[in-house]
Amino acid sequence: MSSHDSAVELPPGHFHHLEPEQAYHSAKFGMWLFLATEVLFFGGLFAAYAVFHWKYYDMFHTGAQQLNWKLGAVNTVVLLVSSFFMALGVDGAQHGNNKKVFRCLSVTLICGFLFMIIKGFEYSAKFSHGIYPSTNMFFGLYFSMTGLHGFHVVVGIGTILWLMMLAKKNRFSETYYTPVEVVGLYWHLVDLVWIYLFPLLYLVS
Amino acid sequence: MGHGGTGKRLGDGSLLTQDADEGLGHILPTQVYVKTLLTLLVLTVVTVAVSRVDLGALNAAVAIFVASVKALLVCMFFMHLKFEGKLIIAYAIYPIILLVLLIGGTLEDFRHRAEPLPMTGFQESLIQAPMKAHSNEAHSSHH
Repeated sequence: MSSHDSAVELPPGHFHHLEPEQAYHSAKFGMWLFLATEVLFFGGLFAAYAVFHWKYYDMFHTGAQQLNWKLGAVNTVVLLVSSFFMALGVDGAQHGNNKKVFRCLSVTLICGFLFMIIKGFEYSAKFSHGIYPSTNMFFGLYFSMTGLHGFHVVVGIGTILWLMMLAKKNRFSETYYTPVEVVGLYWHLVDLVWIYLFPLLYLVS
Repeated sequence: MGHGGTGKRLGDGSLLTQDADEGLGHILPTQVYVKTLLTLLVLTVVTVAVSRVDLGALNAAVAIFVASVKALLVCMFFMHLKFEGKLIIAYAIYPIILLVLLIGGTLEDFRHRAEPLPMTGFQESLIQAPMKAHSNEAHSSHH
């Protein structure tokens, strides 16, 4: 609350910009706004998927059969578990428990790496069979959609590492845990996208 | 707008979340997260199991429906959307409306096209197009 007593000169009516609660709600709203743009960012690819699935039905059917649905299912479970521990991490932050934040986010981080490793195995298996984004429309979309999603996972891993550093320094408290909350929202969106990608890409056969 | 200043809960809610609880975010019992995860895992098994049964065109519809139930659970409980104010709920719903318009509109347009989309040979399709003057011009400029 030291900001209230500080000598910062603000025009009348602007003191609420220093309120921690106002900052928390603004940041959270900003993240939801960003997630809306993310939904539409992926939405373009989903629209392309819908059109070309309709047009090249057989190609998508045989393409999905060439994917390893078991690895896709394992990755689904990995991401769901990672989201669960992210939610627990936010809970820890809400209670000002920095140790719990660190522990839970470590599990989320490991899940994130595991997801990327499995994805790497899938990609290299495809490449070794001579399947590339240019092979056909199905694999073009497969690599674009999972690639863009994978990029989001990598960004998520980076921000989770940042949160773990802050938790190590005991930065979070019951009245300040905004970074954990907003990164949590982002990570859950990454999970949401995969919830749709898994059946659409792996199970359409 | 009196803020207590000492308690754990700060203030009386802001403009952005006037419909929500006062103070910071929403603390849920851990049990809620455990139940959400278990339901999500069961629904993942359902997704795989349903895809093994041949339902024809229904397969895709069922897959999208189950995925949407899972997405709703993640939003409601992991992302605390169930406990947010009207503004955040509105901004969570509006991209979905745009997405339905985007995908629905594109599919509807595509379904009623007489000719397939020019995937390759774009140049040829341009020349065959009814706009003869334009295509002649484009053609001659290449030579």
